Amino acid sequence: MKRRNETLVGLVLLAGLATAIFGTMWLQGWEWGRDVVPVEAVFRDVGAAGAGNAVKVRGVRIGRISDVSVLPGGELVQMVMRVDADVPLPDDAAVVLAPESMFGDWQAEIVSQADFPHFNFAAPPGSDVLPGYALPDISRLTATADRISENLADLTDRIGIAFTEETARNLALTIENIQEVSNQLSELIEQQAATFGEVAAGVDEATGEIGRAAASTRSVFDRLDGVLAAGEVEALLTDLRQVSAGFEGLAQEASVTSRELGGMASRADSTFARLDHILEVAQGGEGVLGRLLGDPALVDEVEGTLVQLQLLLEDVRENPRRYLRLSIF
Amino acid sequence: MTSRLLAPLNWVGGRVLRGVSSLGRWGHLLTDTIRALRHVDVWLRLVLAQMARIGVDSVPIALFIATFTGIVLALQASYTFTGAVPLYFVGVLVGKTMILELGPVLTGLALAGRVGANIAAELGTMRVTEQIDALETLAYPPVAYLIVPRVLAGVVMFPVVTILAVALGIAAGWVTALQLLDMSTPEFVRGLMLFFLPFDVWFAVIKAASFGLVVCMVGCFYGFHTTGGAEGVGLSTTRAVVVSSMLILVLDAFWAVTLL
Repeated sequence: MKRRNETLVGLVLLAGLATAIFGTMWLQGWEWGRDVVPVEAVFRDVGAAGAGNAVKVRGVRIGRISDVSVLPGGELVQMVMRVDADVPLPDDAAVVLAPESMFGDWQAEIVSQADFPHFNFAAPPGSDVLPGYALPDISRLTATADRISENLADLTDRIGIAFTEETARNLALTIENIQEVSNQLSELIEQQAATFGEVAAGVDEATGEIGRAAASTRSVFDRLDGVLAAGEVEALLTDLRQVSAGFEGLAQEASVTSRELGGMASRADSTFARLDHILEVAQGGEGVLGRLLGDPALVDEVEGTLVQLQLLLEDVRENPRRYLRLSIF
Repeated sequence: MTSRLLAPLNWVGGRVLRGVSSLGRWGHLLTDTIRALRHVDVWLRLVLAQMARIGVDSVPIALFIATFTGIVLALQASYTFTGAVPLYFVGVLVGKTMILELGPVLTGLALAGRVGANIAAELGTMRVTEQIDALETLAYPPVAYLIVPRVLAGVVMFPVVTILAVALGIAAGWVTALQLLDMSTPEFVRGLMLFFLPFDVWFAVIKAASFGLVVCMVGCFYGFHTTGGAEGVGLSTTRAVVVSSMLILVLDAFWAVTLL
């Protein structure tokens, strides 16, 4: 009886112990007979990820998270994962933590950091530690959505306050105006399109003209080359040089003439001055001319004298012998 | 007239005195039990037999209860999770519930009925037939001879039986999920492993050990203090089962508050 008790108790104890140990190991994802290596990563926050969660590469489960702890300093969280040794990891490997489903289970996915340039990965302290980033969980998203909904509610209230009947009318009017402006813009655009078409045609034509002008210029230059080659320009330049010399002589003569004109002008000035003096004397009644100017009777006498003198000259001309006797010897 | 007026006071006073007296006896028994641990030569050779009686003999009833608990858990989980929640959460619910709660508590309650009653009846009978007095007369320490082996056996074997019950309960839920719920093994195992923590097992072991301690101590207490012949034995047995069952539930809440 005692022996039987010992056997049974021993059997039950061992069975219970084995069940507890191997059951725990199995439920922890212990990989018997598989070569696993530890991989470390650092995060600023690990969300709800913890020991036992799956580690995946491209969606395939390759291991489990074995430990999560806060590093000294408290700014980074270190995660140790045990993954299959035969699975190649990307050269720029990083770890992204994300909810595996909507029910609180998380996963760590080893990815290429280049595929997620907008993720702010935590800087690892060493080259053998992978950078990590945790996506926001559903609670954070819900909190954000809650804030957005509150903002939308505020916005809706404000719109409700601001959107009166008058606002609606104004809005309708504005829409009508916008429609009208749109129509006008459409017409303008059509007109502009037509104008642009014409301009384009004109530009096209001008381009043709320019092409032809270029051809003409080219022929002119050709001819000019011919002229230059024939020496005509040199002769022309010689002629021009002579003409220029002629012009230079003419300019010198003109200069001399100008100087002479200056003398003449000064002499004219003195003449005019004397004449002016004579006129002043005459106006003052001095001299013959002055008396003539100032005495009408004398003028009459002079005129009579002149008439008689004219008659005398006529008579002399008609009858010269009466007054002149010319004898030689 | 006066006696009628004083009757409630007498009742209250009597209750309090009995309660305090009971607490005192509990204290005495606990200290005697701890003190009796030094008599290793007395209790060591008796522990194995008690482990067989308390533990090994209780395995079938514990496994029976756990099997049907696992089946019911899987079915109720699938019934509850229809629609929004993925079916692999059946594994989560079966695993977590069996390990953390139903495995230890149902095993503890079942063993409270079987082991607690057995101990109380056995010791009560020994008390009313003056066998315990005879032990004292023969200079055998009765606590070391009768209580320590049972308590130690209960503390050791309750966790073992609980672990086996939990394992079988999960296995039963697994089979149920495969056969009745159109689930695959990977799905169920995924749920089973999803939120598993090694601490869950420790939690179950700690709870089961505490349940074993309480059940055996309560059975020993009521059996050791049995009075009144056969009727007293029956009363002690009933009290042992009721009190140990209540204490199991209280401890269950205590550990949940303390450890989780």
